[in-house]
Amino acid sequence: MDVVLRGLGKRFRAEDVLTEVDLDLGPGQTVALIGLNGAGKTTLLRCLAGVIAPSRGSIRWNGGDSVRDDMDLHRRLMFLPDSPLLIEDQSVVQNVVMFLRAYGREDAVTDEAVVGVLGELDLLEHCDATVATLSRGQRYKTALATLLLIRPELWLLDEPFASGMDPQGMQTLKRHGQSATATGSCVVYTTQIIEIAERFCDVLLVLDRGRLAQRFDRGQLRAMPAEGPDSLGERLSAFRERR
Amino acid sequence: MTLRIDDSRRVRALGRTARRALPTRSRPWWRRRARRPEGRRGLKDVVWRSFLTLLTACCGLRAVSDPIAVQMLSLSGLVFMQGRIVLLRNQLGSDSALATLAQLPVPQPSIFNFQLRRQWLPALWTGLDAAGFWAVVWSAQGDAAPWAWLPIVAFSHVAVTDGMARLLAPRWPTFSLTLLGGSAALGWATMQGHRIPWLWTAVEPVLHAIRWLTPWGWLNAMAGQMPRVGFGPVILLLGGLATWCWAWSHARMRASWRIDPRWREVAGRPPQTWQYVGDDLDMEDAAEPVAPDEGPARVAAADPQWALAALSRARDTLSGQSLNALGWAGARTLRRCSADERWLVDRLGPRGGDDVRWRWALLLAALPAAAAVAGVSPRWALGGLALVLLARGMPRGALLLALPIGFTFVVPPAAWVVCNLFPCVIAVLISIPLLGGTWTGLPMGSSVLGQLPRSWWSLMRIMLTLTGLRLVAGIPITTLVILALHFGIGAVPAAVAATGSVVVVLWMPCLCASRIIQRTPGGLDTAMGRRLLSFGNLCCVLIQMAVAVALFTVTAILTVNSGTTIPLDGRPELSALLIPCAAIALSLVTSAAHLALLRHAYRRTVDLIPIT
Repeated sequence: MDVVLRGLGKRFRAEDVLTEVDLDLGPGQTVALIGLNGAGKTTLLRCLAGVIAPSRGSIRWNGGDSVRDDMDLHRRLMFLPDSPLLIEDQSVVQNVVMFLRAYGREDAVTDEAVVGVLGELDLLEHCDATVATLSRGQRYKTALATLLLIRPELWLLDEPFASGMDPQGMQTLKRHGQSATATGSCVVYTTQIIEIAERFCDVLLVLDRGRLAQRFDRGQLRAMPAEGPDSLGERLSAFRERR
Repeated sequence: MTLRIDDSRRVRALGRTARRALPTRSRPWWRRRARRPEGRRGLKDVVWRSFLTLLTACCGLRAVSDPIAVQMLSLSGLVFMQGRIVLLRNQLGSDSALATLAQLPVPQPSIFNFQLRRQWLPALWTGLDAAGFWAVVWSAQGDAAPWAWLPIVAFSHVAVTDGMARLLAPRWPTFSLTLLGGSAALGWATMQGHRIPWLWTAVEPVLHAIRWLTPWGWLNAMAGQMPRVGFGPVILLLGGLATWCWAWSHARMRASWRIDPRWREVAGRPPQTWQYVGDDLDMEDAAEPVAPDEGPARVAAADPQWALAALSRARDTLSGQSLNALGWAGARTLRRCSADERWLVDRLGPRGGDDVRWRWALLLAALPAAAAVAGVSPRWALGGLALVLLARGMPRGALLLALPIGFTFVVPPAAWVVCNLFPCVIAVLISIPLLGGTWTGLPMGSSVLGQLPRSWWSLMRIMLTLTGLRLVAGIPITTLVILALHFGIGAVPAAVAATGSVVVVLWMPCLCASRIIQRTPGGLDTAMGRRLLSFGNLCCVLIQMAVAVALFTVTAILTVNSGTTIPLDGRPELSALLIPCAAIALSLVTSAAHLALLRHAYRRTVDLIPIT
């Protein structure tokens, strides 16, 4: 899926959360968004997901304007907030089935595939438990399971590595993410963990006060020293000091 | 600092500080929140609803027995209408399941229709009030009123409203046709039913059942057997008991309303810091754990067969359901929402504050009338209210009431103004924020109060607008009605025609605004969209008020010219029926305009369903 952002801005009341964001996302990319708290990472993801409409600028998904009106287009992307929204009183599998049905993938996804993904995420033993009784990490895994089963073209993940998942879950996410980008999907996620951002992305975008402050591709990230004034951590610290 | 044990004053102060910091640990038992807050809140709500419904009815009685009180009736009606609007407004976006649905690729009309159906519930609630209000007004007009029509008025309102809620289709023409068709059918059945023997045969037993099984039927039966003035205490008692039954169902209905803070996340609004006030802070209830489901929630080992069986059940359970079934899932979630979440959400939502404000306004507007009906001096009633305010820790409100009451003892001629007009003015002032919220637009801000312009000039402007509205809407309609009476055309047809013209004039811009919002890229998330919605909302408010003013004006004219009835097929008593019927029909139409506006506005940007 090609997503083109031009002059994107989002204002909440009197506060500009995003300002003049220009971005091109294409198939096969893994994009990490990093920035200080309040930099606009989640807002950018929400705009990309069509959950909120931008105040200025434009977003074009495959050349189309609105993702909310176009169900086919909407079904090609999936947004996973840091606290996934699930139907609380339904079980894990019921939620999975509901998501699959909403995305029109219920028939395409076999029972074995569902069981396989649930097993990978250690959710098999909780498959009949209601979401309300699950821990935070397990809830996220439930939503992640739906994402892995639906396999949309555009993955939008908000803080997946700070979601309470165990390391096994994170590894599963990374593995599936790499597999998805290899087949043409685009993965966009936000994170605060520099080490993960450095290693698990093709493009790293640094957001600062709603603006795309810096952009690094994989080659630049590899060439970047782990420590010292040119390291990614020090650059982020510089943003904080500038504030 | 060393604290001496014998310094009892300081120890007490420290204890008070500790109690404030940890209110649940050392609070007296009578101030502790019940472990089942829903039940207690429901009971409290029932009491309030009963009381206020009764007061509204008393306003009608007072207005009929004393033409001067029409002014007061208008004011209380105004507050009543505002309450209705606020209820409708706050009902939007209060669904936790919608937060989940909004992130899924579910057709927006499906989500919106699910939501729209829910917002008919408060409409039903207020519709009952309206029907009861007019029923009492009508019953007090004379002994000729047929008893059976009173409950049928109430129930037809309920039936039409509920029927529309069920028949509501995702497309606009069906929606409007259903609404208009329902109103027309209601009017036709009411006016022509007695002419058709088979229809009357079918309806009459129902009417008898309604007479003996419904509160308004009892109320009317009692009112018809009693003298016109002086039955206040009895009607208070019976009406209270009767409305209690209705209010209980309303309270149960209300218990399902909640505002999910997660909507804020979905709509991309920055999270808000909530502040608990006073005794509402109760961490014990908030920390109450969610009760686990019954049955084998987990299996001992990760058995794929178990998972396959569970998956099969899930697929089968949901099979046959279309995407609209997600609404069903949401409703199910709502019903099963845990008590502590409900507790929390009820307090997070500012709707509670709006309700309180509205209740006080209605109470103030209706109390003098209720006192007069009950044979108590309004002065003493207001004095009692001032004491209640004082006891509830609202000294400024108590002072505001007590000072004018004291003034009446010094200047007795001012008693009427103080006891009748003054509370109504205060009621309108109190309710202004509600109107302001409606005025400035639905989706903005977390609280209606936050939307009210703070300056005095803005307040004055709103007051002037309100006054102007009464003049603008009331004068032409009254003139038309008087002219019609003079020329023998008939007051009610003229009033309906005049009101209809006002409605059309105001409704058209409202619909135009909604159309423009619908076609504006970004919809409500743009400044233009919000302004248009505000404009449309204002039109809706104007419509509601125009209708109210027109109907009250007709009531006043018919009251002043008592005995003025329009012969109708040889059944003069039916002429009185036209008033409540017109009220209900017009109320439905105006509600339709409001809903149409909301529907059109939100279809494009359902993610911005108001976070209130």
